[in-house]
Amino acid sequence: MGKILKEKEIIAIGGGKGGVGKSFLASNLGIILAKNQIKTVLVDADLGGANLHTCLGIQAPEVTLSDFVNNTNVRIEDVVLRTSLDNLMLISGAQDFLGIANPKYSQKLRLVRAIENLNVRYIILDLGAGTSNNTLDFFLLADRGVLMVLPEPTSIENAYRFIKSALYRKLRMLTREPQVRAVIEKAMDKKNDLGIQSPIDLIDHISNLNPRLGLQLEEALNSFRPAIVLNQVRSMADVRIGFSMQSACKKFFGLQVDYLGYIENDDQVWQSIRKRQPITLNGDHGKSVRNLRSISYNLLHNLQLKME
Amino acid sequence: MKSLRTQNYYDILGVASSASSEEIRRAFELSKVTFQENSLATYSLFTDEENQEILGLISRAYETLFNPQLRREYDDFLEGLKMEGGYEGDRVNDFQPKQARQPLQTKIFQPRDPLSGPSFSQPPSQQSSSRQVSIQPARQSRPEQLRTRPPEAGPLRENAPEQLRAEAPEHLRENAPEQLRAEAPGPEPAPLPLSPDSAEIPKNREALDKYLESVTVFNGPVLKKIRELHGLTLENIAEQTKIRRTYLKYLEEEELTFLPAEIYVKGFIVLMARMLDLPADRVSKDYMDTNYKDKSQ
Ligand SMILES: Nc1ncnc2c1ncn2[C@@H]1O[C@H](COP(=O)(O)OP(=O)(O)O)[C@@H](O)[C@H]1O
Ligand SMILES: [Mg+2]
Repeated sequence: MGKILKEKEIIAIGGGKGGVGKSFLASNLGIILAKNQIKTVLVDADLGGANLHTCLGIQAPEVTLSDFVNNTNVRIEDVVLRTSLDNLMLISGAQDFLGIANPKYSQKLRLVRAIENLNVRYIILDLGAGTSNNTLDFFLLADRGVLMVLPEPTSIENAYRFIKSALYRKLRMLTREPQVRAVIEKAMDKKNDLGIQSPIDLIDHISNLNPRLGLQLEEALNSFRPAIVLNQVRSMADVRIGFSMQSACKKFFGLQVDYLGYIENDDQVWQSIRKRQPITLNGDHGKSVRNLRSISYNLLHNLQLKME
Repeated sequence: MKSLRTQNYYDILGVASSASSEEIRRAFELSKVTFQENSLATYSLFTDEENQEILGLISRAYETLFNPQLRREYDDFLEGLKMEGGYEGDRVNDFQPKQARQPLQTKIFQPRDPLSGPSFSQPPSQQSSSRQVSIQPARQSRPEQLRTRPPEAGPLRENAPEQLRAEAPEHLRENAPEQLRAEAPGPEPAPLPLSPDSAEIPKNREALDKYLESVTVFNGPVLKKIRELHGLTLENIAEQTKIRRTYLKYLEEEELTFLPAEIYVKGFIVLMARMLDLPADRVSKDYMDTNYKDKSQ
């Protein structure tokens, strides 16, 4: 069992903003992996806006994650759907978001355990927009967190907000000390009276209160390594924004961010979504397909784009 | 920003200590784009002043590491710090090159730049003042190519290694920087030597009063005019209100696309109004009505 667990990887795809292509990336990533004989399950973790099945061209399924969450007699296997690709499975998201958009802690724990125990090589979580605690928790649970970003101010700001929220939540969970938690919560607000502007300031501040905890937080900071994908790029300058974001994150958050790749703006993308035929399914060789393949490749091999 | 000053030059440029000079040059080119004013990747994280400071550090790092002689000296210096156990901390900036450095052939550093002078030891305030002189807009002429590192063994390798390599498509052209630049605000007039205290005394009370009488709606351009009649620069307001200068500029120009959410804009306007001695409620209502209500009504 231990061995199986070790050979499994959870990839979460978020981004803070809606409509940036998270579900598009998740679904095609799943297809590419499955076509390469890698057993993969896609999980629609967009509690409240589930549409991953549509991106895959599948009708709204009968059983969904909410059946599992709402009924402890339902096993996770009962809601795993097979697809026409041997190695691809889907856990569809809740259609009715009542009751599941805000699961209780115990429900969430059960869900997380069940997901972690799925017998596959890759588990891909398609996250919803925003920075709700549920979304952040899924992101933090994953071995690899990927943020989808558009080369636009709003999307980049949201991505940074997402990174910051996820990081601070991760740090906050390391301690129960009310005093320290209060500092972290305060630091979330940029205009805090402690003068904390960045995670680096925050850790400095906490190190003064509690040096041992300071070290722990620093470790957590170093182990938090989100990745970015730039979507709908139209120029080399757009591509370069990914490198700039990397550099800015290093300087501002003290974080190493991996730049997995980019996807060009491509009419074939929305055409395929409209036809409900995933772009990577039928051997198309357009530019976005090539881009998706290199992203999958980098993800699998722990590589990233390099400036040359 | 404190932590930045304790980073060594390799960290500052974001390169490995084994980086080739070509990698160092590339990192420098990228940094110039990344931290230039209004850069998409940094405007929401750093103020213009912080960007300037970072650029200053970056050019200093580049100047040292791109020169083989200085780089060797710097490596020795870091090695020495490490052996003394003082690697971390402010001392990474105590590096003094042994000899006056040669002007670089790349011409990126102008003789006016104090950093290319014989010593690194000017006080920090002096150093940052004219550092921006050394930063020129990034060269856009040479399209960069993207490639991943050489692939290692892995599940996808046998199936489709060629297809999965990341390549820079030829049809992506260098056109966006031009568009971005067009959106960026033009050069600002040099800030007046005005202290925050004296800023509260309007330059020309009469003209201001007269203008205020004629105002019917407080919109962006009107706020700009009132600010100018107060003899205040955007920098003055930014300093007092802690609102980014670029945001203030967009507020005056009513460039809403570049501004944060409505609720923040409202807060900004209230702060601006207070600084300009205007009735904050009235001003924010006017401004929000003009800019956020459906215009057809
Ligand atoms: N590379 C692309 N080129 C063109 N259109 C794209 C691209 N990526 C995404 N889109 C468009 O964006 C829409 C939203 O994508 P989706 O994956 O549903 O976003 P999210 O899951 O982040 O809300 C898609 O329906 C598609 O039309
Ligand atoms: Mg989605």
